[in-house]
Amino acid sequence: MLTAGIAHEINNPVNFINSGAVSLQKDYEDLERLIHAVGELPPDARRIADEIGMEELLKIIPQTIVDIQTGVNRTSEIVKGLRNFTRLDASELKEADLHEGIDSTLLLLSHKIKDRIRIVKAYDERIGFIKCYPGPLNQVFMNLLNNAIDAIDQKIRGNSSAGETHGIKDPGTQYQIRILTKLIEEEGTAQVKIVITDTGAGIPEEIRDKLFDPFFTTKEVGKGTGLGLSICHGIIEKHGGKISFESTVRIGTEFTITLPIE
Amino acid sequence: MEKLTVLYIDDEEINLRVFKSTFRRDFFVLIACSAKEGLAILKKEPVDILITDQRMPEMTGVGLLKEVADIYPDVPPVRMIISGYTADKDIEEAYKNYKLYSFVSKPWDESYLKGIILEASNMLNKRYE
Repeated sequence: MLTAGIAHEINNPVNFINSGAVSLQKDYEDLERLIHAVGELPPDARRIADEIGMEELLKIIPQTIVDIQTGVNRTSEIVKGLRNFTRLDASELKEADLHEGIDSTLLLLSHKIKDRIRIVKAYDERIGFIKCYPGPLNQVFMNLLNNAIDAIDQKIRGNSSAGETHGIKDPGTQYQIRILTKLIEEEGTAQVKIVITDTGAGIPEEIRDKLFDPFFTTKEVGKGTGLGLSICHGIIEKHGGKISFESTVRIGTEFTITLPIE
Repeated sequence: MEKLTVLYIDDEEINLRVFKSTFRRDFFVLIACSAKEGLAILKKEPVDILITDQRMPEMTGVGLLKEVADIYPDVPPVRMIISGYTADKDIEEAYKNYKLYSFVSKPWDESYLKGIILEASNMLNKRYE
C-alpha cells in the first residue's frame, strides 16, 4: 500500500512539471510572436541580444520544453508500472481458466507476433479453472511473452545483420515460442506448471542475477521501465508460487512458473 | 462568445498556478486552495465549471461535491474531480449521487482536460449564483 501511495503522490509534482511546461510553451510562443513583430531591434536591445545569443536562445527554449515533457512522460510510465504492480492488493482471488488467460494474452500480442513467430501450445487439458488473481496473472503472461517476442526480434536483427540463417530454411521453426502447461500431483498436493520457451537471443550470463531487480532493463531508453520481471516475481510470490528461468545465449530462454492449486 | 468561468480547487498551490497559467487563454480561471475557500467563491461569483482535487485536508473533493449538490440542487452536473490517485468507491458515489461529470487523472493532459471542460459546458443552462 505504501508503494501505491508514493506512486500516486508522485503524480502531483509530475502534474505541475508537465502543466508548467505546457504553459511555458504557450507563453513562449506568444513572446516569440511579439519578438518577430518588433523586427529590427534598437541598438541597446541589439547589444543585449548579441550578449545573450538570442538567435540560439530562441531555438533552445522550445527544445528544452520538449525535453522536460519527455522526462515527464517517462516518469509517468514508471508510476503507471508501479501502480499496476500494487493493484494486486485491490484484486481478488477468483476461479479463472488458466488457458483462457494465456490465449487472451496471445491475442493481445498477435499484432507483434504476426507470421514471423510460430506459437506452439501444449496445454494439459486436466487443468481447468484455478484459484488465482486473474488480472495480475495475465500481466505475468503478458510480460513474459512480450520479452520472448523481443528476444526473438533481437535475434532476427542479429542474424540479418550478420547475414546468417544458421542453415535453417523455415523461419517458423527457428523463431518459436512454446507454451506448455502441466498438472503435477504428488503426495496430496497439486501444482500447475507453466513453461514459456523462446528461441530468442538468450540472456547473457552477467545479467542473470539482476533479472528480477526493479528498474533493471536491457531495453533501449524509453522502451522499458525495468519493472516487468520484478512485477512478475511479486505476482507469482503473492500466489505462493515460484518463477525461475534457464537461458543459453543464441539458443533461447525458458521461464518456468509453478503455482500451487487447492 | 464569453469565456467560461472555471473554478479550480486544489490544496497544492503550484497545481493552482499551473492550471491558471495553462488555461487562462481559454477560460476565466478562479482558484481556491481548499474546499471551504472554494465554497465561499461559489457563493460570491458566477461559476460555470467546478473542478476539484480529491485528496485535500479537511474536506475531500467528493465531500465538497456533496455539499455543492445540497446547496445547488438545480445546477447541472458540470463538476469534475482531478486526482493523482485512481478512482475508488468514493468517486463512484460521487458519480451516482453528487452529480460528478468526469474523473480525470493527474498528470492531466492539457488538450484532453480542455475538451472535457468544453463538453461539460454544453450541459450548462444554469450557473452557480
